[in-house]
Formats: sequence, C-alpha cells, structure tokens
Amino acid sequence: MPKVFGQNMRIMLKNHLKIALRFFLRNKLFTGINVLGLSIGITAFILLISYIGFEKSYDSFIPNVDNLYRVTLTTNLGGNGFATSATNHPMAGPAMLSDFPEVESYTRIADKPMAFSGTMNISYTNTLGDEIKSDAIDDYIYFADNAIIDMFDIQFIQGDAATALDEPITVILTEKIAHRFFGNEDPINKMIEINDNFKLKVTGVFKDRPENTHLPMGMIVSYNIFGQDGDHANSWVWPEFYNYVKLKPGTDPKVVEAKFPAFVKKYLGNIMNEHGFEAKFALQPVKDIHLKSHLLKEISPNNSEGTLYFLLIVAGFIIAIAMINFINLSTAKSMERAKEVGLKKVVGAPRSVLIHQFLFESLIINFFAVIISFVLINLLIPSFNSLVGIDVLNFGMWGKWQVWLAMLGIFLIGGILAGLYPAFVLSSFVPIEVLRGKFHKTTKGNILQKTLVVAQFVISIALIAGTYIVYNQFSYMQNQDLGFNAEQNLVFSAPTYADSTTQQKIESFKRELIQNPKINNVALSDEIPGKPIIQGNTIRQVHERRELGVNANFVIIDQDFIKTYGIKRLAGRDFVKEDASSLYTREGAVPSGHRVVINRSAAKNLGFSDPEAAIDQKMIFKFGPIDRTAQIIGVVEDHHQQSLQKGYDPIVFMHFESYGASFVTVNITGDNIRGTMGQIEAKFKEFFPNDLFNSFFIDDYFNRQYRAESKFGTICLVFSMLAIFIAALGLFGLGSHMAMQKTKEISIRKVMGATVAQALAIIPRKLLSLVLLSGAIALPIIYFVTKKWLEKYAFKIDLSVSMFLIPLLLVLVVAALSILSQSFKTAMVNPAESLRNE
Amino acid sequence: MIQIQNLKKSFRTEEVETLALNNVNMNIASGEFAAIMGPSGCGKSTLLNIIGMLDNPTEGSYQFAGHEVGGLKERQRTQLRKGNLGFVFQSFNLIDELTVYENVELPLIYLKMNKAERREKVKVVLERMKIAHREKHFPQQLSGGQQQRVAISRAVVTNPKLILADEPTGNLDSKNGIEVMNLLTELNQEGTTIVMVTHSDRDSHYAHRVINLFDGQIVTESQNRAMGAML
Ligand SMILES: Nc1ncnc2c1ncn2[C@@H]1O[C@H](COP(=O)(O)OP(=O)(O)OP(=O)(O)O)[C@@H](O)[C@H]1O
Ligand SMILES: [Mg+2]
Repeated sequence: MPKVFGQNMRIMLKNHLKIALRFFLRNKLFTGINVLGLSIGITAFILLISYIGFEKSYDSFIPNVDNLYRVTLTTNLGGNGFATSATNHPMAGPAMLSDFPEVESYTRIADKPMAFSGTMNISYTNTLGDEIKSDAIDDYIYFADNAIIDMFDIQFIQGDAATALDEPITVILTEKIAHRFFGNEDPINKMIEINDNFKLKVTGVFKDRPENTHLPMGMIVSYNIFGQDGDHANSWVWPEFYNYVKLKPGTDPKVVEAKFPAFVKKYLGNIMNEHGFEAKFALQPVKDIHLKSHLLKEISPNNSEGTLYFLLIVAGFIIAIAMINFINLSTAKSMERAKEVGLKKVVGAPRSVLIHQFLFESLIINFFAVIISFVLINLLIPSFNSLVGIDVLNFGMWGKWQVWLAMLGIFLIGGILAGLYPAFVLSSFVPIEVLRGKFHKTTKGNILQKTLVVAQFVISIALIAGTYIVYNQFSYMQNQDLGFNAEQNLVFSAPTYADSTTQQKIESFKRELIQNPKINNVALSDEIPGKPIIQGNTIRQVHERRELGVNANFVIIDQDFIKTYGIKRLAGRDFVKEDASSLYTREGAVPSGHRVVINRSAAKNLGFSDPEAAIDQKMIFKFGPIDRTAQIIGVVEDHHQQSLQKGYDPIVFMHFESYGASFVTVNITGDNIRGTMGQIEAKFKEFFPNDLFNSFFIDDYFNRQYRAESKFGTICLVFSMLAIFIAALGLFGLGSHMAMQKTKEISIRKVMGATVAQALAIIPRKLLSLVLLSGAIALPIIYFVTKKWLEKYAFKIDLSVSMFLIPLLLVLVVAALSILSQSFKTAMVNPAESLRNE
Repeated sequence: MIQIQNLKKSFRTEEVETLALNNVNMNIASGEFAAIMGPSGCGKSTLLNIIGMLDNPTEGSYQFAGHEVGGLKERQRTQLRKGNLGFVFQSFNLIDELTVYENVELPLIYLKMNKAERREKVKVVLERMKIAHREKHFPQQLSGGQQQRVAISRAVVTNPKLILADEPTGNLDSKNGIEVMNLLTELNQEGTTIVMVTHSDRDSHYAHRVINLFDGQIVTESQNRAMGAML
C-alpha cells in the first residue's frame, strides 16, 4: 500500500475488504450472478467494440488517405432515373490531372473482365519444369497505373517502386504470391503467363496488404496491357474503370467538385447530346468507401455503417443490462444490510465511510469481472474471428494501450456507476427507522428498481424481436423459389479461347459429357445466377424513339442454358442451335438478324401487355455504341439473378456463334455425385489440359451473396442471446429477492386459506404488468426500425403480429420462470415456519 | 371440539433435535375460552400452530370436530381451515400492500364468496370493531391497537368456530390490550371457541381455563369460573 494512505485509511480499507469478502462468501448467489453477468457483459462489449473499431479503421493505414478520392459517375442512361457507379471513364483521371491544378496524381484500376473476357489462367513454369497455377479471383489481380504504388502506400521489398508498372506489360505481386510462384528463386524479371499467350514480366514484390482495406491487392498488372487492345481503355466511351485521384495537401474537395459540371460538359458533352443522357462526377473519400459506399460495381463488398451502429447499440445494451443487474441486486440486498448500516451509524460511522465501503465492494466485484473477462476474451479470440469472418483480434491486441484503457475505463466507470446508487441508498438509512422496521416502505428504491427492470425488459424484447425478424427475413430469402433450378447444377470455368478449334472442341466435350447417363444437360454461358450481370444497355421496340429505350441486362447463352437451369417458358420457344447469330459479318458490317429470348421484366419494360404479345416482335438493342435489331422468339419467367435484396433484372438472352463462354454448367442426377464430378473433371482435363478446373455448385455460389447477411445475422443472434442470458440472470437474482420479500405475504395468504397456486399468483400478476408495459414501449420502436430496415430488400417478409407477440411471450416466460422457481420454494414452506421469524 | 392425545412434536435442525411438545393430552369443548401459559420456549406457539392446522404433529392424535387431522396433507388442512378457523398474531401479520378493507376481505376471497356478499360482511365486521372509518388506510398508517383490531376483524369475518390467538396483546399497551381482550370475550360469549397463548396474568383471567405448559408438557390446569362469571 502506498505511503499516501494514512494509517486510518489503511485500517478502514482493511475493514472494508474484510466485510466485503465475508459478505460475498455469505451471499454466493448474489456475488456469482453479479460477477458472471458483468464479466459476460464486459467480454461481449470489448469484442464488439474491437470489431467496430476494426471496421472503422478501413484504409486508415494509408498515410495520405485523407487526400485520396474515388471519382464516381452518375448517369441516367437508359431513362430509369439516375444511378451512381463506382467506375468511371478511363480518361477521367488523366483529364483531371491536366485540367485541375489541385490534383497531384491519379491511378486507374481495372478489374479482370475489363482485360480478359472469359476465363483467365495465370501460370508460371519454373526451372524444374513444374507449372504453378494461380487463381485469378483469390489472388486479387488488378490492372493499374504506376501511381497506385505511391497513392495506396504499396511497400516494395524488391524492384523500383517509381517505375515498376511503367514498363510495358509488367506485374508486381505480394510476398506471399511471389513465394508460391517462385519459391526461393529471385522473382524479379521472371515471366508469368496469362492464358498461355500473354507474358508478364515481374518487376516488383511488395509486402502483403493489411486486411482492413476496401481494395485488397495480390497482383497488379501494368495498365499499358490495354495498349494492345485499341484505345477503349483510354477513351470516354467505356465507363468501367475505377479512377482514384490524390489531391494536393489541404485541398478542399468541394473546390474540385465545383469544376465538374464544366469538365463533364467539355469531355462528355457531345456523347451526352447524341445519346440523350446526363452525367455527373463526384469525389468520394477513400476512407469512407468501406462503410458508406453502396454504388453500382463496387470493387469489393462493403459493410454498412447501419450495421455497425446496430452492433454498437447491442454492445451498449449488453453492458447496460449487466450493470442494471448489479444495481438492482445490490439495492435489493440493501434491505438485508439495513441492520448492519443502522448499527454502524449508531456506533458513530459517518455516512461518507459507509458510501466508501459500498463503492469499494462494487469495485471489487467489477475487478473480479474484468479479470474473468480478460481470460474469456483470450479464450474467445479464435471463435470470435471465425464468427465475424476476419481476423479482427489477435493476442497482439493486449499490446495496445487503448485496449487497456478501455478495460480500466469499464472497471472504474462500471464500478463507480453501478456502485453509486446502492451506496447512497444503503448509507441513507436512518437508524431509528431501520429498528422500527419501516425502512422498506420507502417507495423511491422500489420505483427505481421497477424502472430498471422495465428497461431490461424493453431491451430484451427489442433484441429478441429484432433478431427474430432479421432471422425471418434471412431464412425467407434463402428459402424462396429462385426461378431457376439451383440444385445439382455443377459449374466450372469454361476453357479459355485458344484458337479457332476451341469452339469445335467444346462442342465435342459437351457431346461426350451428355453420353454419361448421370448427366442431364450441359450449358455454356457468360454469366451465371448469383453474379451481377456485367453487360447491359438500352433496348426498345422498333417503333420507339431512341430516348425511350429502357435498361436491360444481356446474358450470352447457348441453346441448352434455359433447359439446364429449368427457367420456365412463358411464351414462344427456347433457342435451337440454328438461332445462333454472329456479331460481325465477314465483311465487318453489323448484322441484324439476331434472335433473342427475353424475360418477363424485359417484356414488361418494353411495353408488351403480356408475354404472348412479344413473340415475333422486333426490338432494338445497343451492343456497344451500335443499334442492332433482333426478333423476340421467346419469353421466359423472371429468375433471381442476385440476392433477394435486389429486384428481378430485366434480361435479354442472346445466342452467338462466336465463342465467348465463361462458364459451363452441368446438370447432374442420381447418387454418387462425387464420382460424377470426378468423371467430368477427367473429361475436362482430357480435352483442355492447359486449363484449370475449379468447380462449384450453383446453390453454394448463389448463397455466397448472403454471407454478409448471415454473418450479421449470426453476430446479432449470438450477442442478443448473451444480452438476454444476462438479463435472465439478473431476473433470477431479483426473483430470489422478490420471493424473500414476499415470504410474509405468501404465508399470511396461506394461513387465510390460499392454496400454493393462489398464493404464488400474486407474483406473475405484478410481473405481467411490468412485461406488458415494456412491450408497449419496445414493440412500436422495433416495428418502425425493422420496417425501415426491410425497405432495402426488394423481396421481403410481411411483418406479422406473431413476430411481436412471440418475443413478448418469451420474455414473460423467462422472467416468470426465473422468479417463480425462487418463490415456489417459499410457497411450499409451512406458513408457521416463515411467520415464526417475523 | 378439540381432542388431543399423546401429542408429540419434535424439530430436527442440522445438529439437534428439539422435543417441543411431549405427550400433550387436552380437550377443549365448544364455546370454551382457554388460555395457554408458560415460560418462553416451552412450546406454546407450537401447540397453537398444531391446533390451528398450520403444522402437523410428529406423533399422537388430534381430532378437530370429530375429524382426525394429525396426518392430513397440506392441501387438506388448508381446506379444513378455511372458514372454520381464525388467527390473531402478536405481530398482527397484516399485508402491508393491502388496505384495511382488503386485508379483512382476504379470507372471504379464498372462500370464493361473491363481491357483494364480501362487501356486506366486511362492512359489518369493521363497524363492529370500530375501525370502519379507517378502511382505506394501509396497516403502516395505523397504531398497534388499531392494527390488532384489523387482525381480529380478519379472524372473525368468516364467522369461524374457533379463534386462535398467539399473544394478541403482546405488542400493545394496557389500554389497547384490555380493549382486545374485551373483544375476544364478546366473541366468546357469542359462541366462538377461543384458544389464546399469553404471558400476561391479567389476560389469563379472561379465560375460563388456564393450561400451564412447561418443557412441552402440561403441568397444571386451573378453572377460572369465578372470574369469567364476574365479567
Ligand atoms: N421451526 C422450528 N424449528 C426448530 N425448532 C423450533 C421450531 N419451532 C419451534 N422450535 C423450538 O421448539 C421449542 C418451542 O418453541 P415455541 O415457539 O413453541 O415456544 P413458545 O413457548 O411459543 O416461546 P415464546 O413464549 O418465546 O414464544 C423451542 O425450543 C424452539 O426453539
Ligand atoms: Mg411463541
């Protein structure tokens, strides 16, 4: 003990400690419930807060992130109102650098499909002749200008950061990927191949990127790879490129944004006039992307601030519930300690000493709780990381002073806050009243206790109802009929286009597969369900004016696709092989004899009254900048191309002669699926030995869209349950106290002739009114919050009365059980016994 | 009305077994007013509780109005108690959360009497006990004597055949004490059997008979006719 404490203080503390420990030992249930509740509460709080902190930290490791912006594009192309996309024209960045003095540098970033249609195989053959392949998706491959290195703080280990991506056709990669390709060889100047015909020279190796970035990078290929592909990638006609700019330090982004209207007019004016649309540019701070951006064509899935606020509220609730327990139980216990307090006062203890004593006890309990939660957090790190799906926590967290500060803060604030009220109540007892036995008549403590219990009920009901509704919506989305056959459809990447024989090879590959009695159908396509469709443009009936075109998505399929996916035909017919048209005639002219199948939404948007009406009608679609005409040969039912959060896409299915497939879908039947998969893979290897075979089932793929949702749902569920558990714990403790308080009343009633059940009935009646009051507060709030939340889903459940009544009943049952289990004991006791002690 | 033979009651706590009543034999006739006296801890309350069917004897027989009640289950005892027995305690044992009126009404509720009937009965009793003007008050707002009058009201509202009183004047001053004793005597004269535990010589003179208990056994019984006749 430090010197600053006087002799007196020391004796007093010793005395406090002695009384506290004896009191805890004598009241094991009380102490146990408090420590358990608080430690679970603190653990949950710290875990959630760390997760929230992690999500908030996205991209903040980049030194000049405050000056980094993404240039977004808002257009009303297609006449369906304005929509904003994360991508922009590839000339936006360069033009901004030359026109705006505030811009220091820019980089354009292109995703894989911009460079390679169809499949992209990356491989390296080492000195021993082994071929090492890579997965283009898992390796986060992008195409970008050299300035990306400086702007995003890519830290070079080898190579020249200033020029690495300026040389023609080069690539830089992370340490991890470099090691996989090259082992211990020196990566610099090694050649990596794409689809066996592009060669990339390795000019740099950089440190693995942190997890908390909206732009995870594995391999970056120089932007000049597009140079060989005409000038689309340096034009104002292909708005599919991410443009990032770095502004000079101290620049107000509003100054730059103010110049955009004139800038857009200068570069896009002609095209806007010609095609009758409007475009707007805006600057989006990079550090806001992960939590605030929900644009079209996001580079990676983002989280939402709303989710984090929700979790923050849950975290606050959990710790609040734990503290309410503590306050309630301590205040309740105070009745039993009145005698101790009264006597201490009689022998001359001043009130301040008594307050100190009770605060001290509160701090001790909180101290135990903090110690236990320290252990719990360490035990839970792996489970929590797998729950949220990112390595948010590691043991290194204890090296951060913020974490210790948080723990210390919880300990002190919790201990003092939760201890203060009981301390004042306890120390305010007037000795004479205590001796007269009138102290428990003060209604003040009772009202506070009731308010706190109601608060707990409100929180519990709100959490249960909220979780229940969220869960209902998620399970609704996952069990809805998707409009296509999601089962037993195996998908794998189509072979890359090697030469003119590829088309024939794939035809015979299909033919051989179909020989297999366990294979029903095989289809080729450039898109599959569960993936946002990349291609799209406006369509219209032939007699409509150009400005009245409506948006539609284009999916290129073969004659077996609609069969394979079991998409329902509404009118007309499916494709046959002969319907295939070519995109260009041999002379280079634009043919017009296309035939298309459209879905219900597209037919409706085109203005056809019913599907039949569309059959054999002509429509115009823009493919690239050019208008083409097509005949509608069939209309099919809408299917869910994306998660049920999104509405149905209007789709035009096209069937071309030239090979452009990205995916092969095989519909399998019967048992021994593994065996059939093996046969398919063997056949693929036989036909296309140079291609990677990576397959998945379409239902798994489709459900990947719900990952964020189900993750969020599980987190909510776990932590709501914890909150409810802590609340039940408190009710249990309070129940035992209430039962004790009611002992006399129950006994008297029994003497007056009440049965056990009748005597017990007094408790639920009081409880019922509290729960109903809480429901009246919680449910309207939850109704509005969930209604608002559901608005972002195109397909959603209807809120029903049962969704609100079930949580109410659940809380009632839990509360009644925790309290009745205690009172029952009292009611069973002989009344003579309990009245004897009066 | 009450016939007790060879009654024994022992309490077993963790370490010791206490024999609170040892071979008690007694009869109490209908209409009698009996007082039980004796030093503290001799078993008076225990005996009264058994008579009141709040507790079961360990051994022996207890017949109430001809029914053997010694071995009855809790539920059956409750059934038999209802309406037949009234209790008055030293510490009143009123329910603090209920008003005077509601406290008195309580036994009638458990008798499943309808509201109008209950109202009638409670009114009559409160008038008689001179506490009607306080019917909306809570027990804590009354003096000790008033509280005991409420407790007696509650005991008699069902018109019980037997009233059991455990030190009914123990917490009262002499003026209030005498008032309570007069009330009990009045009830007795109207035909209610009364068994009362007391420490007070003065109170014992109101009874027809005094039963002296010592160490769980009846040591003497004395008649008090003269005194009873005097009043
Ligand atoms: N529930 C019980 N558990 C254990 N012992 C008991 C119990 N009830 C009574 N006793 C014991 O039985 C004996 C008689 O108790 P009882 O309450 O009948 O005494 P009493 O004559 O009413 O005393 P007093 O005049 O002080 O009220 C005492 O020794 C007491 O300790
Ligand atoms: Mg006694």
